[in-house]
Amino acid sequence: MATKTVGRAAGHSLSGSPQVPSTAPQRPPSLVELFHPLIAREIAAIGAIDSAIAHESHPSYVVLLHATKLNKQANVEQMATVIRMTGGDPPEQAVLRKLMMKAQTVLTWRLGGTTATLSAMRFAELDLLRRYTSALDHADGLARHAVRKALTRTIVQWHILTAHLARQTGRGASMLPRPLREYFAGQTPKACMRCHLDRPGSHPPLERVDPHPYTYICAGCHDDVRAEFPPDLASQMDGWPPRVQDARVLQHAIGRPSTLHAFHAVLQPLSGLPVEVPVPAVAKAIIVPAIEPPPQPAAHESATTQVDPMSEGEREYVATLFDYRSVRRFW
Amino acid sequence: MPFSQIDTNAAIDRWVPSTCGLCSIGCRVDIGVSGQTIVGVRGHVGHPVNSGRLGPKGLNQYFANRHPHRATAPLIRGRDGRLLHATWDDAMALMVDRFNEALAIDGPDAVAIYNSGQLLLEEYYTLGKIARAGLGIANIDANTRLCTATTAASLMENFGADGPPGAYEDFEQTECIVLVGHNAAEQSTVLWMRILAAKAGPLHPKIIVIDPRRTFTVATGADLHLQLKPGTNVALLNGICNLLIENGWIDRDFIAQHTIKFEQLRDIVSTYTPEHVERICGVPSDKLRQAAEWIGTSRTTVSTCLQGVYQSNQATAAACAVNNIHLLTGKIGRPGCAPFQFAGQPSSMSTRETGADGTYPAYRNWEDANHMIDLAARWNVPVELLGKKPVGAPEIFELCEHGYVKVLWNIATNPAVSMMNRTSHLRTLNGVFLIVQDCFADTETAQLADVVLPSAMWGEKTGCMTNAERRVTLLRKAVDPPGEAKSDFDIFVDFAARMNLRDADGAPLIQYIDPEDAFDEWRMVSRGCIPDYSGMSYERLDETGGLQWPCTDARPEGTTRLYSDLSFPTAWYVSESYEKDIETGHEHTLNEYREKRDPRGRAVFVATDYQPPNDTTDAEFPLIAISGRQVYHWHTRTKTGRAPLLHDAAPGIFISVNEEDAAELGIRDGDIIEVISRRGSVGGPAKVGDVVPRGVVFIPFHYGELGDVHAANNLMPKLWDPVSKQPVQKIAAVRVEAAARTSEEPWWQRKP
Repeated sequence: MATKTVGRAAGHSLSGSPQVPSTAPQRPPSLVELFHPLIAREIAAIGAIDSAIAHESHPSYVVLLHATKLNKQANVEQMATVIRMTGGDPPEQAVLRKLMMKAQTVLTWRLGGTTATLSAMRFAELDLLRRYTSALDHADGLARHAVRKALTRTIVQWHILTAHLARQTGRGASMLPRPLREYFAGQTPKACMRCHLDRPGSHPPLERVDPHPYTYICAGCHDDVRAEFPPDLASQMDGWPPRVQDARVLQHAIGRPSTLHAFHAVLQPLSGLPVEVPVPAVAKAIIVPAIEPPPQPAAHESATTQVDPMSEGEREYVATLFDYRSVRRFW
Repeated sequence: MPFSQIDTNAAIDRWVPSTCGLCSIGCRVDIGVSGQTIVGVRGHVGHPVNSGRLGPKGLNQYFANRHPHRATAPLIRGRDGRLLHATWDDAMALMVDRFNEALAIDGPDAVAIYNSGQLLLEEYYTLGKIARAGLGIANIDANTRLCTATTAASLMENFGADGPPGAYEDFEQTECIVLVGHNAAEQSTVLWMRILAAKAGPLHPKIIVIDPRRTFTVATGADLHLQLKPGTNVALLNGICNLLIENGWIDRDFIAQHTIKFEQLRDIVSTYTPEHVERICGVPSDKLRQAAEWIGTSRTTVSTCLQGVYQSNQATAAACAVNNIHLLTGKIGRPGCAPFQFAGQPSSMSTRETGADGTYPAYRNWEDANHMIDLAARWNVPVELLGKKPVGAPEIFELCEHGYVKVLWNIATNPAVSMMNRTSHLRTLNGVFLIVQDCFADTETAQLADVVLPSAMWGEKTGCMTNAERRVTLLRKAVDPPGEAKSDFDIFVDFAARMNLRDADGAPLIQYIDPEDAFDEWRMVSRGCIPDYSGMSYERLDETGGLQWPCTDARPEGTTRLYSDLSFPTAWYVSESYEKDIETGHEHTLNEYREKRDPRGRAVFVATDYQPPNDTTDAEFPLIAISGRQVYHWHTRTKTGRAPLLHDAAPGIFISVNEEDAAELGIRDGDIIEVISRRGSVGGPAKVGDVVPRGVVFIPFHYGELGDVHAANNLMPKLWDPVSKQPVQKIAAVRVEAAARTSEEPWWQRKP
């Protein structure tokens, strides 16, 4: 029930009217008061993720954990930027919280493995989600942008975790805005290394196993990535051997441009948020050449060159090289 | 007598010790100064790298310093589209505002830094620290991605970490030299002089050149030329490996004790018989056998790779195949034996060592929590904010193209000419907020800038460079930069302060203000790591003229060659990388590597089947275009285009066409032709001859002024190697059309 509210609340939050009860103090908090607790929690969560990465044996989930960590690092950097701009202090270290969360993560992993860890992570995300929703009330200007972005990442993260837990435990699928089959199409739980789900698609999923590093791209991402190839290469793909086609798709799928695009174009809608693909900036009005055409080298500059080969073997080569015109016959 | 070039009638006040700022050999030079003007250079007599020798570019490099078009004041683009003079305060304030705005609104994905292989070590270190520990971004890379990324990738795959194992003296101590995709006579002139001297010496090394073109190198020193089809390096090198194994020219004890995955290699290369290789590569089988015999029966072998490997099809796989040859024959870690995976630029090595190419400093592994904890402690920053997977330059430009990156800081490089699939990259550069920091304000990239920051160049600042044999040299400032230009180092320090970047205690993140203090911090950060600089200091570098890392308190004289103990940094806790999939670039996780793959100090054979290039020839595009450099120019001619002799020697584009292809197409020497690929075209005069084989055209990549059609990169596809992320800039399927017949003599036929 609580998490069902989350999706709606989050969606409303982004349009400015959160449903989550406000925890705001009477006096508007300063930026430092607003951001330091959030930064402390995110840093502690990253520490916990690092512990989970150290214990997680399945590569797909390691990639998911790294992606979660990257999002949390981005949240911290955005808030830290806003604090820096005002001349504020660096984010607090949150040593005690960090240690507690790390210990908790290790314990959780040992007791319940991946599922329990994902469950604990989702719990932490829910707490952050509430706090970001509340913070949005009190932030304006660039700070509001930063909170909004962090809230978006947190909502997406919560939905990824919810979908995984629903797939693994059979519980909680109703909290997702779309049917579970849109998140997981396969027979066994798997995590795509691009979207971290296992979405359906018209092309088959791609999987590489030992002796290769384990690699998995779901059918949905296979479709999406093929569509990302520029026309001059896309038109040739069918002529490549199947192994090469798959390799090029996997190469592209795990790269940052494609994973970031998946976040905005795939994961946001699967989290009840709109697709949010940036619009490439409009070409600037420029004057070319910027100053004036570069002049030819000044003809009056003359210099005396002296070359003295160290050995007989070099002599002919050096003579040709410093003739400045004879080498042309080798072009 | 050293090689020298001095202004006619110049009166030299002083000679200032430095290192050549072009190519990766690292020749020691003395800069001749009169007042505040560089008036000449000379090779440094007795230096172990060049013994007083210099190449044409090295001798002419000082003309760029005093060229009238040096950037001398900051520029900001005005509303009318013109670049207008500004104060440093205004330019930096605008830059900082845009960085902060992008970081606050969209986060670290929204900004990117693209730097160079031509700055100084202290500058790279500072920039890398700003990016990783200050801004928290992963979008930082250098143009070394275009030249030396595969070097690092192949060394990591085979040996566990970057770091070329050999020393230049190995060229004088070997019986066989194999140059793979390395036109040394044009790209590494002083090295080629040394090789030719060695060839005339007591060991008379056999020289094998593997290159699609009949190059200057082939003509002046090759004993055997394997003229393969472009993009087929892997097949040919697998064929050599197969012959080495088949004929027993391998070191079985070395393989058993110091390597893993020999069986996988043997199984894959066994199908690459000389006849099969001939069908793929076009190299006669007897020549392949001859090459394998020379390599296999020589007691010592040195090999080199350059852009013919790194910018071609299957780059990392091919570079690893060269390393495989050394592992098969046990020719590593001893005099006269080394795979020289070369760097392309004078301080490419420093970029890679310090992490300005997106890696973490001192070859730390971003996935290893202990490496990050150690680095965070030395930097005094929260470890939680480190450990981000590097994003390579092709990916950064794709992020720009799609609008994710809003602000791009471009430092000492000219991607408007040098990036593959150039047309799309020009749109990209035109769309982002572009800050260009360069010594010239008229480069093609600077013309698209929103802010231009004028920087000092070679000879105008102090700092270190590391060459391709790991030798660190100190370049002393000889003259002041012109006008208001500042050193890149000073700009970085200023930027960090204006951004209010701080460490975990609230102290400034960058606490030094001069390069020597930065170097001392770098020594501390590198201590105990693979590229250990802890035993170096400016004073010792001045005294010795250069030291090879690792250089420690216990080993103050430095280290001539790596792996002399035949122990490789492949164990999980030291390895810089966890073995990537050569076909996809995906990397093992730490746990996968530790549990299933850890070679525990042994080197790794990396075997791959040949795959044809992805940009395929067909009836519409029947030829292959390859690109490359000329001896008299450097990259996009930002510097060499300003030197009279160099400009005169190579004033413009040409397109090399095989004489038989030309006859079929009705093309004569000097005719203007158009080369068309699936994504763009290049126009220029045809240079007809037998340098390129049938079916291939060659275009130098130095040219590409905005608004003309001279850029070879107009043709090249948006493809990059999966492991090294190095763009494929030597393979494009094209057709050639005759455009115009001219009565003028082409420039290469004109008399002086």
